[in-house]
Amino acid sequence: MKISLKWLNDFVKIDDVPAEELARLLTLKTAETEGIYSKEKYFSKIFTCRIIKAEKISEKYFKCRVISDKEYTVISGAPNTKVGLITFHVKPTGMIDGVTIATKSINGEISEGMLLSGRELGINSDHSGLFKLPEDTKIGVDIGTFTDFYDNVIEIDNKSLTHRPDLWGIYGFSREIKAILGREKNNPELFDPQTIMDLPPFPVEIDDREKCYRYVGVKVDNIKIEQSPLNIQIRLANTDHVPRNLIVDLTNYVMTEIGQPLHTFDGDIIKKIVVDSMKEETNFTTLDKVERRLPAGILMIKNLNTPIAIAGIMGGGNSDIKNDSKSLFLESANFDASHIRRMSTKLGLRTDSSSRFEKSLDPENALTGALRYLSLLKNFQKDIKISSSITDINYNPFKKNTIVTDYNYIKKMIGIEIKNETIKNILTSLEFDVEEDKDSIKITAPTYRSTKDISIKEDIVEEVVRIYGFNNVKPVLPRLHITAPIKNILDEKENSIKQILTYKYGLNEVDSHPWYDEKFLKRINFKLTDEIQIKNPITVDNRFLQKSLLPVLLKFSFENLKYFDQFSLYEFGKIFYNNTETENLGIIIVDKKTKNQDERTFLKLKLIVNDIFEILTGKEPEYKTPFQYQLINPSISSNIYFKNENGESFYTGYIGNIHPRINSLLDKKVVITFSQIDFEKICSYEKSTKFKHFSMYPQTNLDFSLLKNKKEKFNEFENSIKEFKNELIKDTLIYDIYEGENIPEGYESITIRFTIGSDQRTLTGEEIISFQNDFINFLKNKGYTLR
Amino acid sequence: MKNLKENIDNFLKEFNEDIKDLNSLERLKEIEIKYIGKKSKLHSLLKIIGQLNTTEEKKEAGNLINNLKVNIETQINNLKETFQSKEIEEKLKQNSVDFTKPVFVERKGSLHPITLIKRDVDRILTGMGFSLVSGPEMESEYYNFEALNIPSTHPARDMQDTFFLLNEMILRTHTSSCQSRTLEKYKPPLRIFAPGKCFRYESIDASHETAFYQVEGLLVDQNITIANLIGTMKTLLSEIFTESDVEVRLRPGYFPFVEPGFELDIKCIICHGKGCSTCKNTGWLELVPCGMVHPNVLKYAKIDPEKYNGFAFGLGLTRLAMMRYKINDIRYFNSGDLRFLKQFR
Repeated sequence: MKISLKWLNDFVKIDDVPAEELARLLTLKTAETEGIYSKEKYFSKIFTCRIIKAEKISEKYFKCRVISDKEYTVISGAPNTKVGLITFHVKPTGMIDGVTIATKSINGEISEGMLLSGRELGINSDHSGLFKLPEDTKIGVDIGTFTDFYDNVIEIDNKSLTHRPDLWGIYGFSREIKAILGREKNNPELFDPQTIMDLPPFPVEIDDREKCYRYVGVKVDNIKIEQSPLNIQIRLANTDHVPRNLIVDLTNYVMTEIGQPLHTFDGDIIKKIVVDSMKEETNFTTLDKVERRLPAGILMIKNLNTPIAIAGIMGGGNSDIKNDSKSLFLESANFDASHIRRMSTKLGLRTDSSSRFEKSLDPENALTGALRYLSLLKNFQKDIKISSSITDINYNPFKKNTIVTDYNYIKKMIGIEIKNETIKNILTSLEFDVEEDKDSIKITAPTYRSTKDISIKEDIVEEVVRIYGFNNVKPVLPRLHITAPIKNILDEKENSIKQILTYKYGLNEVDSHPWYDEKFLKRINFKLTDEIQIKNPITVDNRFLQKSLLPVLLKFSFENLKYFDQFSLYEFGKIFYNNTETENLGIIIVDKKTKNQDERTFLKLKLIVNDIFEILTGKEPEYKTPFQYQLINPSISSNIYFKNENGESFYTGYIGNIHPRINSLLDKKVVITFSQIDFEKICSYEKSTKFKHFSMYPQTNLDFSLLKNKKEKFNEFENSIKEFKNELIKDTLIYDIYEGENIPEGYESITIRFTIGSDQRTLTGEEIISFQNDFINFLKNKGYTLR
Repeated sequence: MKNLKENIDNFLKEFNEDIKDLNSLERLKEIEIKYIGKKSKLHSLLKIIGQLNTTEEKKEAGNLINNLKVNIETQINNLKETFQSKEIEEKLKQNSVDFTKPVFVERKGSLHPITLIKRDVDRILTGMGFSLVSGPEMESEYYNFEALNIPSTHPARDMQDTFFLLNEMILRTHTSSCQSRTLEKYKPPLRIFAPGKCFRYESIDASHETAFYQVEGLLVDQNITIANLIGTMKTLLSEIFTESDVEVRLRPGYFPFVEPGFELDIKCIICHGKGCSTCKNTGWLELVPCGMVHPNVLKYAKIDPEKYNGFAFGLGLTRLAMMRYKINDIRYFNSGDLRFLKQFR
């Protein structure tokens, strides 16, 4: 939304306030301003002139003598250059759109300044010739002295106006400025409808009253399609409109001024206006000559049965004002905001009109819009003949909103002492009606604030405090009671595990999008199963929510392998399936491939997983069976189970090396191991730590090294060692696993450390020797060889 | 007696002679045995006491010998200490480590910058009595919109902002979705904050991401004022930016779940209000959308808005991290790029 300050000055005197100050005040009290465009920073020394001599000096150029404040020689390349033409001339050293115009040589001739087209002036898009001024224009006059050319335009962030339908016109802002500066305000001049009361109404019928609340129409004959007066064009240009002809320009003018979108139809075509929704889909060509497919249910303006406009969005090519139109029918209506928004989104067609209607405009403004248009038109074309009365079909569902509250509430909510009178003055300056009762006040909002903006007492608080000034509210910390904190175990545990992974194991935390990258999935030939699908993915390759953290961590690994040889990544992230989400931990380790690295990397990650389980639950998990998954090597993998106090085992994740077929996609020889842990599930187990008495007598460590056939699974080996029972055992530990020199092929040397002792006494040498012998005998019976 | 004194003199003379050229601890040990050991000269002197007649004489002789013993012992101990410290010094010299030698870490871990900034905000808000709560990323439209007074006709619910899922759920567009969930579960008075990942359907560039982090704050109690909101925000932001007094300003802002709603700006931390590219020459940074909790939000959670009120605020964690670490491109956060990630510890 662009606010021309010269235009705004029509309604409230602001020409004595710097534009920057106005912008600051609007930002602090009304809506965010995004910047100020000052035309004088980019344009200067532009004067009216008349061409008194024009000599064709080449195929393209004319050498002209023009008279402005004095005579100049100017070279013009415009085809419409001719003696007698009145146009604009920029003097040497003047500026056009930020570029300084120097005296320069064109086609071997000196040109003092330049004659200007509409586009060069920034008034319209016409660059076919010089901008033409009327015959009665005074010559040698600065453009700024008789037009609003050198305007300051404040740009407002439209997003900050979504809840303010009253601020979609310059006049609306004059109300705010009036309240902020405490000044008087003028109203736009309106046509007096009484003068045409006796004319017959124009036939208008609203069939869909849910979507159209009000329709005001009037027919005007004997109109002329002509250029708008210069200042109308300049005002429209400064507020981002392209001037076309007076009839159309005035609709934009009124919309920009008071925020009411208008539409003019060719009056000779329209027999009867019918406002109704389409029963079925249809094709329709809008006035921009685009044929559009309209959905069923869309509200249309029809001429009898023929659709002639998409209500509130855009007129049709079959009924708009043409260059030879003699008559117009003016529409100034009010439509259901959410219908307009939905349809404009559906059609992908956003117009000045639709973006206003979708904000819930004040239906009262529909009448004002029509009267303002007539007043302006009559001003510029004295000969028009209004041929109908103001036809006004009104099913307005809105009424002025009334809020009953009291001064104390307002003060209490803001948290400051403020005089009742000050509150009342602020509200009345914003054109609220305030009736004071004994203990309460009844506040009636104006119609243009009643469609959605102001409805509850909190809204009143906002009005008071913003005009009063937020900077006048002293910050105060609340005094509050102590309450018990809400526990968040998951977050706490996640934090402690992040600490371990990062600072103990040297892992790098990553974060990612929750959806798969299907381009990468294709590369690794990953098959999707029943992932949750996104209706409107950001790209066609991001259609599914992830069901595993492995693909993204693998993708990151692939990318990082371009710069690093080995690294470890982890992510705490959600995985999605069966309409639920669970917080999971994914860890991936990438190591350079060397001998035995498959096992080493696998065990490295297993150590980390064990540590996580111990920290969270107090004990290690169980690794039961190989894990079958499309990206995992089935021979180097395992499910991870956790056994609770009742001895029940639960699946909590898996660990495994990446399938060799994935490795073959990489240039570097690496081993990649991945683990995914259902973090929510393991956090649900409580860790219970209880003090255990320890013996006051010395304990002895006894180490035994023995050979184990590598074919025997370790958990089976451990289980058979566990069969050795002796009451002196305090602790058993696999101390070392070794293979290589001095160990027969196919075997590995296992060192077991027993910690033995008694709670009652120091063990005697005989007891220790007897323990040793017992264990050695046990091993013999089991068939293990001692080293 | 006279004999004894002579003996002592000789004893001392000899001892002094012996320790004159002392050059090792071993020699000192020999001297120690020689003079005060079990079979030493001192012991032979003691025998003299037995030969004396009077008790006085015996007493005097005992004193003399004892003094001699203490004297010798002290000297030997002093010498011992000297030797020992010399020896330690000697060892220290021989056994030095070049402290400038480099050390190697196989893997240097890092925390995601969001984790770092979140911890900081957690610490501050927890200290101010707020409790951390979390909510799902896959959210119902009810908690993301309706319960926050955003009816189905509201522009914020358009396709262009929200990721919709085929299972009728959405990806939450803000952590404000935790408001109603918390209000339903824990009745007021309450003070909570909800950090988490949010999703917006928009095109990605250096300053826009489809997935980013926010922290929602909510306080519901009795007689809470706008002045309280400003005071709390000022304190929070002063802590976050570790400045004694961050200058803030409030502007009107519109969010359906607060009324009145504000945009809270802080004086630009780069240029201190003079105007620079970070603040687009305004001198202010738009930072915290906030406001007084809309009565409808309380009503949805079956809380009486006549009895309770409060305020809510939103902080962009990703934005804060970008400001704190001067990260110029938001796309790094979800890139998994170690060249970026390794910088944050």
